[in-house]
Amino acid sequence: MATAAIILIVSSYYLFVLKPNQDIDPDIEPEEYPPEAYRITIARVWPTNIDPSTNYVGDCSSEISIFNLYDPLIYLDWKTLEPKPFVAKSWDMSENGLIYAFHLRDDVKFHDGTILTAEDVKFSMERLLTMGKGYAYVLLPYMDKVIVIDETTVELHLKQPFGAFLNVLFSAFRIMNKDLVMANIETEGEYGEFGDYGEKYIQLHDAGSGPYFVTEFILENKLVMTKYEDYWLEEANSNRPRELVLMPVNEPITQRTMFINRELEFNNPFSSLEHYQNLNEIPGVKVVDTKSIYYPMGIKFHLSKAPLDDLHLRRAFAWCFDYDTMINELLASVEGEEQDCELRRAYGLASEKIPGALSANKGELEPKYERNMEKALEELKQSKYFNNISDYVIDIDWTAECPDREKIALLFASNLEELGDMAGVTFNIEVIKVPWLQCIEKWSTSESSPLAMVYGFVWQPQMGDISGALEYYASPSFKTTSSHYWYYNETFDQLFIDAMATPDTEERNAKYAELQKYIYDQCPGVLMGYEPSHMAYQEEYIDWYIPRENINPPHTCLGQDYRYIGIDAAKKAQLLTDR
Amino acid sequence: MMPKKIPWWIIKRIYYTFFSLIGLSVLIFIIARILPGDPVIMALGERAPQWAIDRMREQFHLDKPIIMQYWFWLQDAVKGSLGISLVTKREVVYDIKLYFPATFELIIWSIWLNMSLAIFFGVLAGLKQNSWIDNTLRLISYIGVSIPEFVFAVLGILIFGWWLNIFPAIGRLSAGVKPPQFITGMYTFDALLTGNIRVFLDAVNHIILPAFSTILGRIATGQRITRSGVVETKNKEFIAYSISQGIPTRTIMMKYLLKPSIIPMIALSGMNIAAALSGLFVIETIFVWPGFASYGMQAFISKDLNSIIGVIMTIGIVYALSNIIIDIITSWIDPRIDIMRRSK
Repeated sequence: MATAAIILIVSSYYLFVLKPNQDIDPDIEPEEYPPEAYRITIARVWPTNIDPSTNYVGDCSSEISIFNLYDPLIYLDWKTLEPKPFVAKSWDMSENGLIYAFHLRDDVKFHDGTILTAEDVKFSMERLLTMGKGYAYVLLPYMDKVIVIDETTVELHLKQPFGAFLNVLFSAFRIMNKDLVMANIETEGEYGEFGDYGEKYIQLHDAGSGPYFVTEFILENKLVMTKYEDYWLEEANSNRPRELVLMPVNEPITQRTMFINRELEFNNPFSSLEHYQNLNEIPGVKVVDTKSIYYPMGIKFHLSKAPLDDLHLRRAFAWCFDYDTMINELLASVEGEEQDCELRRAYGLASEKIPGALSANKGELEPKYERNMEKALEELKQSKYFNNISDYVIDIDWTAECPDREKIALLFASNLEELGDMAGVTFNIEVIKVPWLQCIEKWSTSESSPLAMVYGFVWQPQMGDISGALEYYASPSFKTTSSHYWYYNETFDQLFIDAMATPDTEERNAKYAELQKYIYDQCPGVLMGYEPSHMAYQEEYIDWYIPRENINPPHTCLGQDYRYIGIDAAKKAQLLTDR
Repeated sequence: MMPKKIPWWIIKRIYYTFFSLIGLSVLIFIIARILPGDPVIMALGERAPQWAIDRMREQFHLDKPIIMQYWFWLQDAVKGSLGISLVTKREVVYDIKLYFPATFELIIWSIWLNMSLAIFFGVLAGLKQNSWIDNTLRLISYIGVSIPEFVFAVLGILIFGWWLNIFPAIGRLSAGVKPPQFITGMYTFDALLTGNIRVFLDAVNHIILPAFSTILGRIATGQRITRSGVVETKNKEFIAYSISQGIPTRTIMMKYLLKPSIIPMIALSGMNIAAALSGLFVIETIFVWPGFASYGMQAFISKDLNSIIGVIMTIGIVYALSNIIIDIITSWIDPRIDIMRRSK
């Protein structure tokens, strides 16, 4: 009874007398609006690694954080993906394509106030390559050495020409404050005189020059970044938020509540369509299809495992798939968005927007797969496994963290059953849900990989052209989750490396064209269509350049660049008061 | 009054617990290593060059036989180190110190609320046996037991976080509120100890929903157990005798009726502490609570070997300690319970 009385008294005092959320922190100076009016909170899947030399490749939260904490040497145009000056105000390339000389700005400051110089560029590149983690894999085959010419000039020397070098630099390389890192190294480490290369320090702090710096990082839970008032970029949005908070808010109900309470400004991709539809109904919240997925969703086949080592069987599967249902229902955009269904179909290994990509829709690749059960049956009957197909289990994996992919797997299974009924055979199909981190293990060897998986035919934007998709058909990539090809061909590997090293764009693309035709002829999977890349945001008070300029850059970070995102603090403060 | 042999009994229990923990460490060491997944690939990424993979394997002794790996781990453990986390790159002991208080704070609040409400409703139901009050509470308890915690959590956010907008949906403190000075790591207690009432109230504001979500199902169990205890005790002859002697009802309730009735509830709470350490993962995920359960789950998913062992060992130690404490408390409440005899 006493406990109940205490609870009643305390809660009454709290609810009716004291509002703990206001004026809690006496260190914050009184402003026109409360601090939360200047804050943007972003939901992302965890974990987050803010070390630019070791960050998880392709991990959204890490990429957004690093992109806003650090500056790249060059930037990419949002629409054309052409390199343009940034920290490097200009650059020269030698005739043989082996030396790139970058001329740096002299007014870029790190967060501790020191000026960024060529030494920092050299240090950062050497750190990335020496540690060998994160994006180092892209540069290690090409980088030879870095030479400092003077304070604002640095040369990057390559071992062999690399056509996509500048694009890779944008994605894979960030400039770190050498003095700050070196002042915080742990002397006992695996890198000799460099100790741990500051890995432990940089895990929770930043050494960047970007528009934001780290204020607080609770490793499992929250990253808080504060606006850097001395940021050098003149065209940066003057109303950009004072505080960015990244959190792993993944539960739909929690996200909805936070959106309504104006506690969340951007949600994470990979939620279900139903969740986006619910968010779209919240007043002031808009769900946008950022169209940043440039690679088709599909069913990828294991080309070395029976029975899918048979080309006729693979083609039969590609002909029998129900593409229209997939596009109209499973890859549908949120209600109210324009349904560019035809544009969503995939007719090649990657989007036509990617430099060098070919398309069956343009007659550049053959055949143009559509749902055609007669052709599917015809191919099936030519398969060497036709008479004993039921002896094989066709296992189809889908990633547990992407709930919509189960629907794709089930649709495919249903289409196979339909084909089996027509042919008078039975397909033994197993649809298997696999947590993401187990996918990494399971899909890393040919033996343990399934026959089929629901996954994207991934394109790596850091490569800048179709090589970002073709790379997954070269044998060094087979153990990665994005490959699943498993068809070893030394000739292809060598031709691919040769194409990558071709400096002339036209000549390079011609080589890529032959490689694409070769892969497409193998029918590596069912190329379905392009997933909407939904993101919900607070349209009422967020000035986001993606919907405003109707652009859809392929890089995650190019869509979440807080140099250019603004917040209307007055509007948010009003909404916070009204809730 | 505690028996004089308690201190020896504690030493004896700790002595046996030590060997249990050794056994537990061996078991979990082996299990962690046979779980699917390559921890080095998970830590470095699938595109890491082979030399980086080999280097990390050597650094964490993963290239050695399992018995040698255990020996290295044991050497460090004796010195107070549980190794380095592959994910956080920090000492596991440091990580546990960082995340454990958040979950423990949630547990303490949950248990306190659970015991208070379960005992209150249990006594009420027991005293009003077979009345409409008893029947209503019984019905509610059946419903409570059958509904999972996460359903309560989601409903809580829906009702109190969204419709009524009374409690926040996530976190331990409001954004912009600085945590109190670190003493225990538990914000509510640290705020009280440092006299920071506003932070205390903000922390309470944040802990209410997750704590209630955790206990709503368990109140039902505790209430049922307490009710049974009250029903059994109130019909005893000594109660009737006490009433006939004119002893005040309040004294009878607090001294003679309540004490024996709540012993099962206290024992249950002790077991709930250790279970909650690992079982609060869903609550911590929904409320974005940076706690030990989330850390443990992430360790398992990432196959962070040292963290897995650290988490399991911590749960084992907490389980052992909580049982020792619960045994002492029950022995104190009911002197008839001879823990020395029980321990034999």
